[in-house]
This record gives sequence, C-alpha cells and structure tokens, in this order.
Amino acid sequence: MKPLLDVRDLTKTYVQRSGLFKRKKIEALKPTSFTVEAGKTLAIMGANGSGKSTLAGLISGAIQPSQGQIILNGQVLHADNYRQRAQHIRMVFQDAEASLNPHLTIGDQLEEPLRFNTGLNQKQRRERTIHTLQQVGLLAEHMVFYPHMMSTGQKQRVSIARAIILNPQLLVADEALATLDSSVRAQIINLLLDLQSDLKMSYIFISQSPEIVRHLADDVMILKEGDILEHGHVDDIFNDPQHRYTQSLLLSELNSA
Amino acid sequence: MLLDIRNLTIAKDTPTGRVNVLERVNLQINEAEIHTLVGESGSGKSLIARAIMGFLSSSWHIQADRLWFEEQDLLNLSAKQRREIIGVDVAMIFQDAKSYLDPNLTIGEQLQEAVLDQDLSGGFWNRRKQRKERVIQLLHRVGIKDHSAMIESYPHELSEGAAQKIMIASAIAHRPKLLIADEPTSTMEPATRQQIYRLLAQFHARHGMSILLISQDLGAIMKETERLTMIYSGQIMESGSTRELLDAPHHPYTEALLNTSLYQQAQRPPRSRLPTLAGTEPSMQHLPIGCRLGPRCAYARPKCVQTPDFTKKRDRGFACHYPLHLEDDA
Repeated sequence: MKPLLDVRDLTKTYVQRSGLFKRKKIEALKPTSFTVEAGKTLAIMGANGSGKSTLAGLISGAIQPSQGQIILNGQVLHADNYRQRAQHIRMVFQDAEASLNPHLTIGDQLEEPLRFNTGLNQKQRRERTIHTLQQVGLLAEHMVFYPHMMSTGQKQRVSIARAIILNPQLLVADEALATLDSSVRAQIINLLLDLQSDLKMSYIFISQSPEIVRHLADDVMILKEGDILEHGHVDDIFNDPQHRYTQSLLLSELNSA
Repeated sequence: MLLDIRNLTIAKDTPTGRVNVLERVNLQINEAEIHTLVGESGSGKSLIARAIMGFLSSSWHIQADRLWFEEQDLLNLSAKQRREIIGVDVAMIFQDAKSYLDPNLTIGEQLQEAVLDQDLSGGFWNRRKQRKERVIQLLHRVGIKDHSAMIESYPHELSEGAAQKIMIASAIAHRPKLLIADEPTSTMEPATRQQIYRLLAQFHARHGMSILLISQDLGAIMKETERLTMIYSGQIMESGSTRELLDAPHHPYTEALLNTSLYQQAQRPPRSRLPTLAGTEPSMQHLPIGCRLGPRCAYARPKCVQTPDFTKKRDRGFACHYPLHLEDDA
C-alpha cells in the first residue's frame, strides 16, 4: 500500500551570525525520512529543543524546509503552495487560547478556512460549520460565541473543529493535550479516537507524555537534537527501548515513583 | 496546626449579582506536612493561595470563620502586621517562573534583594560581601553548582527549570515555615519536574518546611504528598491522607479524576475510550445550586441540589450526600 505521507530527507538548518563574517549553522532537523499510512497515528517524542515542533511546522507548511521533499498521496507539496497544503494537512496547537482570534465569533473563525479554500456558498458554509461543531461535541449555538465565553476544553474542541472542517487527510497536533485538565484531556482523547475511526484521518501527534502516546499511537519516532534515534511500532519501542535517552523519555513519573 | 482555614467564602460582584467563587472552604495544614490541593483550572485553587498571601484586591469579598496562621487571625491584622508574618514565614512560587523574575536585573542582583538583613552581621562595610556569600550559598542549596555564571545571567538566558530553581532559592532565603507552590511544574518536561519535586522534598525533609502544592492533575503530584484536598468549582469535595483517598475515594469527583489520570489511563487497553466526566465545568455566571458537581455527576440524585455539609470521619472529610466506598462501621 502506498503511504499517505512520505517525507524524504527533510532538513532544516538555521544560519546564525556569530561575528562580523562568521556564520554558524544550526541544524534544527537533520535529514529525516519517514512515512505515515492512512488512518494511522505517528507519535513524535523528544525533549525540548529536539526538533519536534520544527518538524510539525515543516509538515504543516509554517516553516520552509532547507532541503528535502514532502509527498502527500504521491504529490509533491511545494513550500509556497498553501492552498494545496491547507486542504489536506491541518494543525492543532498547544495553546487553544492563543490560536483562536479573540475578535471573531466561533462561527466566523470556522467559516474562514471554507471561504479561502472551497467554493461553497454562504448557506453551505453555514451547514458545514454546524455539522463540524456537532462532530466535536459542541452545539450550533456556539457559533455566535466569542472565544472568551468558552472554557479551555471547549476552545480546544473549536480548534480541532477548525482543523477538521476541510476534511483533511492528516492532522498535526503539537502538544495539543499538554495543558488540558485531566477530565477534559480524556474527553479530547475520546474525540480524537472517534474522529479517526469515522473519518479515517491520519495523525501526527507530538507529545511528551508516554501514557498518551501509548494510548493513541501506532508508531513512535524518538527525536534527539534533530536526529531520529528510534522509529518503530509503539509496542516494540515501549517494551524494548534501545537507547538510554528513549528510556528516560518513556520513564513515567508514576512508574518511577 | 500551621494553617487553619474554616468556612472561607470569597465572593465577587458581577453584573448579575454577587457570586461566591469559593464557598465554605476548609483547609488545614500541619507543621512539616506536604499537602496537595488538586483541582482543575478555574476551580479556585489559586484563589485560596492568594487569599492566604493577602494578594486579593478589595473587589473580592473575603469571609471566614477562621483564617489562622500559627494561631494568628490573619483577617483581623492590619496590612503591615500581616506582611510581617506572611512576608517572612510564608513564601510562594508560581507556574511561569520566568515571568516573575525581573528581566532587567541579573539573577545575582535579584537574589541579593531577597536576603534578609537579620542574616547579616557586623558593620555596613561587611554587608555587601556577606550578601554575595549568602546568594552563592542559596544557589548551592538549590543545586546550582556553577554559581558565578548564574549570578551574571539575566532571566531570559535561563531554562524553565533553572528559573524555577531561582524562584525557590529566593523563596527559601527567608526560611519560610510554609511554601505555597502554585503549579510550579505544569509547563515543564517530566525530567525537570522530577528535579524540582526532589528539591522541594529535600527542603521539607531537612528543614521541616510545610508545602502547599497546588496541582491540576492527580498524576502530577509529588510522591511525598501526605494529604490531599480535592476542590471543584470553588467547593471542597474531599480531603484526607493521600493513600486512603486514592485507594477508596468517598467522593465521586475524586473517583472521576482518578479515572482520568494518566496513571489509570496506562492500565487501559490502547485506543479504548476513556471514562470521563460528562459536560464541561460551569462558568462563574452559571454556577449550579447545591453541590456544584451535580450536573456532571454520575451518581447525582434530587437531594444534590442542597449543598452537602462537609462531613468529617476520622481524619478524612468529604462533602457528598451519597459517598462511595463507605463502610458502615459506626
């Protein structure tokens, strides 16, 4: 089977001036290749500064790659073609509070991606918005709400709704569960599982929590300083981590206690 | 008893009338005890901490049968007297440590401000040197070995973990009897969190410092925690010793939080649906009457529209009409 997403030698280097003529190269992400199949979840783990968020930014198009290719369904994604990418790859951020526009109602925010990326008329857009809100467990009434009127969990639901409203094939979640309360986190995990089984979406899931990764992911990739240290099936990596670094990442606070 | 809070109610005026953000909160902390207050965001747990510290502005209406710190009634003291007690015996550290450090001053300068005058001896010509020595000593205590580099650094150069260590260093400069730690590690990665908890546990063990740890999540509490108090939407749901509370929760809320904690989650088969509380937490404008968990509680019955009393049984307390896991051995 052909993979949904095929990443080949993706690299990101930043150049930093460290003197009048001297330049220092910082490799945020060393050449990285991996694939994600349709309907599967890839989790990416790593300590701070290991290049996780750089990778998420590269895949979603927020950061321009220095080298390498991203192939989605056999089509090469171009770094500057946002229309092509925005339809199929969507992103959910850690801080729902900051990623929603406080000046727009929830309805307007959800409509925006439809206005920019589809040819739907106003009535169709409205129907689609209501349908998506219901998918994430909210009500049509929430369309007239402003973000400040909602709780954190509801806001994270809205940002998931904004991500899935274009029926993407791939959802990139960058620490989307990290700041949520535990009861809300369980609700969102249930929601993500339901959406995946209904819509056959793939997830790229960035997280530092081994419990969440174990629960959600099919494959795990361990990043260290921009390098893939290990990559394989969840069970294999969790049961038999090869590197000390991986062991320390998987070491849950509860097990060590 | 180091801290004794009885029936603390904190209200705020809103356009729709006065709202009791905290309702009849009870909290007792003994000497040399680590007590963890667990509640989700917006449950009022930070408000309790701020009420103890006296940070609340006059727009909040505070009422309490008791707000005692070491047998002193904090509510009847003048602002100055209160500051003399709280400023020396109680210290607080916060979630986002970096934002509480002054970006314009070096770490050394900021820590020097925290050094108490009574720790210095001799004439004024000695003081500068002594202050600097004390700062170095404080840095060593929180596990920073390379003190000379740290003293010269500015806050933006520090990692989150290091910034929190600096906060702890300036908090312990007074040798407080009580340290209030308001979600000190919730934005940190697990390894750093462990470091900070180990550091706090060390001060607890060596100096008998009491710690009130405020946490969002049952999974992220210190393993040294002796007592737990659960708060939901401004009401205390349950309190008791950690072991007993986790083994046999009396309150449905404790059970629900336990079920959704990461530890429990790890016991469930992958990709299974997780049990959780239905609905969302109520907003301040639409607080349910009676037990505030009522609308989300799986065990709720009509009687729950009356606020349950805080019942004490041995050293445990709970506020529920229909407690779970309660053996009738009376």
